Amino acid sequence: MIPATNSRSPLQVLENQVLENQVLEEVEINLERDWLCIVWDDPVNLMSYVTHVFIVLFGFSRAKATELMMKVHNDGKAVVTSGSREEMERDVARLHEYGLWATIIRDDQSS
Amino acid sequence: MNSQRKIFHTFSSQERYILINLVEQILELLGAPAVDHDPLNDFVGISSNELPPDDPVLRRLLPSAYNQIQDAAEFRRYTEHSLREKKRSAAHFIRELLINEDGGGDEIEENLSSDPIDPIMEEDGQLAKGAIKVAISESDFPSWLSGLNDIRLALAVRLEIGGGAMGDLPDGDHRSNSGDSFSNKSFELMKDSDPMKAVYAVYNWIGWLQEEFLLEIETKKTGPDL
Repeated sequence: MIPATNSRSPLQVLENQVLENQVLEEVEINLERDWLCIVWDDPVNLMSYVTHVFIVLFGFSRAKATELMMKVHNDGKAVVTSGSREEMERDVARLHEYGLWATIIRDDQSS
Repeated sequence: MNSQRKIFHTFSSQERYILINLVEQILELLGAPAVDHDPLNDFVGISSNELPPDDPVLRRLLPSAYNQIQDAAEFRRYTEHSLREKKRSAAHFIRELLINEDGGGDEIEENLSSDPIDPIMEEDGQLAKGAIKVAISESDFPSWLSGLNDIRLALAVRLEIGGGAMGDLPDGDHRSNSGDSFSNKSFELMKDSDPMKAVYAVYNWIGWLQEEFLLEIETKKTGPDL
């Protein structure tokens, strides 16, 4: 935003400083690799289909994909990938294309 | 250089009719015009949708990516349009495949019978009237599999498999499958006159189709190219 006048009070300068710091913090948060992509169990998607999707999308070995699929099935959910927020949003979008039920959370919420 | 793997499958005219019909319903659902339609937003892939769709089927096909309403809304604003497009294109792929194979769409009307006795092969080994053999190339596997899956998801919502809560924001608890309103047992208990019984049969059939294809995709991986 463009300030309406050039004369800034000390308070405004302080406000701007605080804002800038906030922006910097947000950028840092987004760059941190502490976002998780969760796949939730649903009673419709076939186990073989879910395994196939994990292999195709993430290049997992059949063993790892099967293990993750079983975790979703038994625990109701599983973390399938982790990384930056942008990466997780990309993963979730691809999972949604395949019809899997996936969401993104910050790592600290997962416990 | 065409070393693409292909998978073949033969559909009877009735199976074909059912799939085309279902896929057209999906297209109709996905194609519902947005309320605040903005051509520029369409162009850059931003939709004005921030809230999950009202229709429970669409809510399952286009689920929320975040628990937090604000994050979910923002993500939806920037991605729902492209997700809709991907799903539309998968549905179109299936429709075209089943309509166009061996002949134009003009013949379909008379070829597709609703005869309950609906063979794929005639006695002389020729394809029965209205039946088709489709070839699906490796590059089309994603469209085929995800398109079939979308149909199953849609049918499941209508059948209230999973208690109808699928795709709504997860609450963090494991919802066990005991909440299913359907199982094979309840299917057998359904009266033949119940229209949902036929829907459930179709739902199961599409699941079987998916399994068949997945099995073939996996086995072909190690086998020779066609």
